[in-house]
Amino acid sequence: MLHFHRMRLIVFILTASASILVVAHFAVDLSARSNPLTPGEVRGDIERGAYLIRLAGCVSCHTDVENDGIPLTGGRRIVSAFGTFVSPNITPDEETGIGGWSDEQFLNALTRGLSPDGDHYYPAFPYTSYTQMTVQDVIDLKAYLDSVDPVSQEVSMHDLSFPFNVRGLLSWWKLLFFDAGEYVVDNQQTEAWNRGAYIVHGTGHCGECHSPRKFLGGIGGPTLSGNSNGPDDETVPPLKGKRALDGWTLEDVVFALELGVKPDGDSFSGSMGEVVDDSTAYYSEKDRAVVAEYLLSKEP
Amino acid sequence: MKLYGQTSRLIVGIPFCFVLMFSGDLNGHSDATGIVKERMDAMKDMGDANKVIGDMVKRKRPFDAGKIRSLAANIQRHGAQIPELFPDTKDSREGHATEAKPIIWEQWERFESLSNDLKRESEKLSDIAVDGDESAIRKQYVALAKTCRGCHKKYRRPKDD
Repeated sequence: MLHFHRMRLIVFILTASASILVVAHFAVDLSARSNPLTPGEVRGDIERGAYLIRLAGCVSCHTDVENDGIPLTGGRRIVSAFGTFVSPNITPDEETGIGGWSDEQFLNALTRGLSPDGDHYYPAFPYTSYTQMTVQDVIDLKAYLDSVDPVSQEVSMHDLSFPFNVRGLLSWWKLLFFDAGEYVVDNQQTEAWNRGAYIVHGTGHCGECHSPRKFLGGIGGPTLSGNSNGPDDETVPPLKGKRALDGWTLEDVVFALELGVKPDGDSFSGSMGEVVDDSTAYYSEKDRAVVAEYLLSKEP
Repeated sequence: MKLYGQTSRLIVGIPFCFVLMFSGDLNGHSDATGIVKERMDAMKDMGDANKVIGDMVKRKRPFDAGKIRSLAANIQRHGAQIPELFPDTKDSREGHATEAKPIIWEQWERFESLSNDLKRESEKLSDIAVDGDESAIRKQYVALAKTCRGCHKKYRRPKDD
């Protein structure tokens, strides 16, 4: 008799826990999808967008350089602790690319990590940083992407291990690690400093590699404090804090962003060499200078 | 009860700190031998030349076109040696402290062609430096730096940059 009661109690607890989890999941999922942005009256500028595509470093990840792929057609494989991600085609092809997306859909993809179908994106796509971009910058980027030649190219699916292949669980990940919202100007700082911070934390998404990660892939320490276990098994140095960029002058940082040459004459290796090639080498002199000013400032 | 006085702590502590300071270096270039050391020394020499030219280009030190000419020629000389500094041997692939990725030997033609780019661009810099035109020199230095990172980003294991 006692045994029967105990069994009933266990079943009750299990059912109740499962129900709470299901309700909680829907609540979390709903909150992750709430507050979608609308572009309002903002209109895109192709020329600004052409610059932003370099400022935001889109080309490196969305091009399969290893196999001489066409720029922006995706297919690049990004190996991580969770499995292999494959970047999508972002040319305006209707079937295999992002042709036909509205400005609003694009805006919510970049700043909320939501696909037009309402699915959550994996944070291998750095919407966690792009969320800080202004609506104008995002819509300019979209205008540029709409202007490139559409290329029909299907890419393979991500190859992730369980439970990371359950996309629905990303709403929990977002609850834990994703702070959505545009960059907030610090009025105590200069305009140049703010522009530098906006590029470093927003468009340039430097923190994605230069910050430590927790076991679930969320930023797990001070942003830009370095990552001893970075992508492709690289050790990524800190950009902020006491020992970061020790002995570097403003000219050194500007020079390294343009040419990939460090103050000791050595060249960047691995991923940072790619970042220079596909992104920072295209920055305007002024933007390289504000990034340097921000990185070398004492303020976080 | 105090086991150790301040003085004995200092006597033991200071040499200990020195050992710690230099042990990092012992694991680096100075520990390499044979072909790995040979190519690391060549790379270091090119890096030193690159630093001096770079400092002149960013106006950290006085501009001296004659010096740039000879340093670029030095890089060109080392550039020409690169293929022979990376033989496909066990020592070369697995030698202690090597930063060379094995993919070099899988993509040998590409690697060799990049070393030719380095040779060509450094030779151009050396030639251009004869006229002493600062902006032309800067432009060519940009092209040379691109060849350095073109190879490093693919074929060298990143250090803690």
